[in-house]
Amino acid sequence: MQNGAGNGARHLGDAILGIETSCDETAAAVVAGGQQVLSSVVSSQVDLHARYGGVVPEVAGRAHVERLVPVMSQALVESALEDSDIAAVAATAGPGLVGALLVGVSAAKALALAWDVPFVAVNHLEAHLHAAFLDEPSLELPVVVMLVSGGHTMLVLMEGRLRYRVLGATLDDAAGEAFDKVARYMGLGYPGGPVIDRLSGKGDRDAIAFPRAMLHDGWHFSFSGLKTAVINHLRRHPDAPIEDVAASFQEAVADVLLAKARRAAAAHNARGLCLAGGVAANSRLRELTLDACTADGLAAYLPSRAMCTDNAAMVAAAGWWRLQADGPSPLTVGADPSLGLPED
Amino acid sequence: MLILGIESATGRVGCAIGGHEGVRASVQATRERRHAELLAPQIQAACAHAGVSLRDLGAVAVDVGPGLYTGLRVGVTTAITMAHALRVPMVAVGSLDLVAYPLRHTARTITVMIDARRGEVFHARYSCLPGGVQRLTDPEVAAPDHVVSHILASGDETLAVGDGAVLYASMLDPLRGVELADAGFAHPSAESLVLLAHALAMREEFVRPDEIQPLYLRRPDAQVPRPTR
Amino acid sequence: MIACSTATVDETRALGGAVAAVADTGDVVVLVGDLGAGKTAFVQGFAATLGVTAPVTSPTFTLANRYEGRLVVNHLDVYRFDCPEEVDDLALPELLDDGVTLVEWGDTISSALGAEHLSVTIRFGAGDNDRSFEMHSHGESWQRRADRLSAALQPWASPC
Repeated sequence: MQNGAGNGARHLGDAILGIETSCDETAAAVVAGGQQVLSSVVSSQVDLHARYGGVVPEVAGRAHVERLVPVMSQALVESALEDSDIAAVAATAGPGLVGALLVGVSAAKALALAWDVPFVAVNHLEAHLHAAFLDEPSLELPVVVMLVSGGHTMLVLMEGRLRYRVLGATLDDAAGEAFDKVARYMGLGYPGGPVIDRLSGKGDRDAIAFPRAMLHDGWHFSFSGLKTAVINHLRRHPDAPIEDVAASFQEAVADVLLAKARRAAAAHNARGLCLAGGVAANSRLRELTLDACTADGLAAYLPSRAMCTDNAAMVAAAGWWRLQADGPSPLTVGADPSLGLPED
Repeated sequence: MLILGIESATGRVGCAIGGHEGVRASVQATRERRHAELLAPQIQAACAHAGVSLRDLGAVAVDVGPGLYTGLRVGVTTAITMAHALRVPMVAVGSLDLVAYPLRHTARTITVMIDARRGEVFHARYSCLPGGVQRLTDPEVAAPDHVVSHILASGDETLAVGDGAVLYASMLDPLRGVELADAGFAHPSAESLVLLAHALAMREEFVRPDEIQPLYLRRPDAQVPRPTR
Repeated sequence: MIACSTATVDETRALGGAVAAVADTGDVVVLVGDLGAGKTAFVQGFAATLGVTAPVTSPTFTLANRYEGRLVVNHLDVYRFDCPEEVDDLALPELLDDGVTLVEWGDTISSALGAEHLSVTIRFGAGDNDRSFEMHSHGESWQRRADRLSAALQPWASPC
């Protein structure tokens, strides 16, 4: 939690309330001028979904309705602003779970009507691309962003705040999904990312040579084969030390991501590599990104865990940039579960 | 007291504004899965028709269901957020009550049935009082034949109403002493919501935004985390 | 009962596509089989036949995926659901009426899915990629289509 008090001049006229309910985090934040985080509140539902081994859309929708008003109130209180200081309300409109997105979109429109301020519909993926700037105001473009989460895996060349190109994306499972599936097969529970990360610390990452799909060709990813390889290995070697399996699996995922990101950075003269999305919290991925940047003379932008995972500060920031560029969104905008990244 | 009523429990979505003089404006549309797109512009339009600003509101009323979950959540979220932002109290009314209310002048018992999908309905029974209706049974989700046996067991002359009654008309039509209300009454309406809410507001039967929960009926305990296996 | 077999993942996809050709909104298909048996491949072929162009992956992160094609295809994974009450958390009544629904690991919760469904059990065969399929029609609507289904699955039919 960050408070604006004492952070220098505030641009009160530019304060945006952001709302994020695309999946299993209910979040609200106040960000001034698209940059200064005055508050950021996240209420995680991971405890509600853990026993199902994944996010249950209906459970998420119900929890968002219950939690959003208290989370918004807390974000406003922590920002030390009054309602009347909020210049616009931004909410994630997609991609995500439709029943979850609708809660945030409906709330944001209601606030915009009640306060008579603009409403801004924000693309969740674009918001992730803005997250790094909140931690690293001096981030130099262009950068290659590895956007990796439970729902997405893509390589994006970011040339301007609202100017970027998707270089490649996963053809099957998202990287985070591969972590969840492997963890499930190993009986490690949900979510799979943190527990595999932890086990890997005690394992030998070179113990098993898992396949690195499409390592040298193109910009796209495929993690489905890796998942199958892990399962086949465990089937053939039921006594394999799970730490070694976890570490070798994690290494294969990180290797592929880094290999492509480095090639992309070279091909497009990028100044740095940047991580975004929940999987960016993975310690080995962060370590390898740092190593790669050192070796290649690139800047490494590794946002804090709070900025990598779903939050509303990134939504407010992206909303501010969109509002400057495109103006308010019409109130007829709905939720779009399969919204793509807008490319120019 | 000026009240904004928001209703989105079935395939229909809408809002109305009114007070002691009755309903001043209402906007409604039937487009399933488009509730979130429609509702906010409807509120703007209703304000314009009524010639009022949202800041003039004394309360926000909402249909809390039972109904179709996704649409219901759009209306409930909009209403609680707006009441919170305007710092006004709320009035909660159930969807079945709203369907029964326009039939308050009948001498018969009213059975309301709202389609709950997959061969089930949300239902409750009502009797009429001067100026209103009184709910005789708690809202329930059940198969329509279960509702039919309820009606038969009561032996009452019954007026059946709601989109569930329309959907299962073939089961109700043959019953002696049971009549189907006009299909125009099949959905809960935002006008009824404002009228009923105004009466409740006069009795100061308000709730705070954080006390409002949609009435799901199926799995009311879904939010309570249980031990992980 | 209809028995089929396939020798490649592509064949499993084609088999799923053949079942989709006789499916309609409101249908439920329950898929039972171990991890790696080919449930997702079956769903991929099924969805493709119904005009879904988005990539179909197994719903592990969010347990209910929704795809828009000629029909809406709901793809559920209820691996960890083990009592019918928990299934209510999926809001099935709204989901099922909205499109064709495929449920992975559905046998543990079949009572909540209703009497009308097609169950597909997938087993590993002798070779690495060999799979055998057992399909059972439950309820009137699937039994009515049994002949059409058998005809559609003729290319993969195994001797009973």
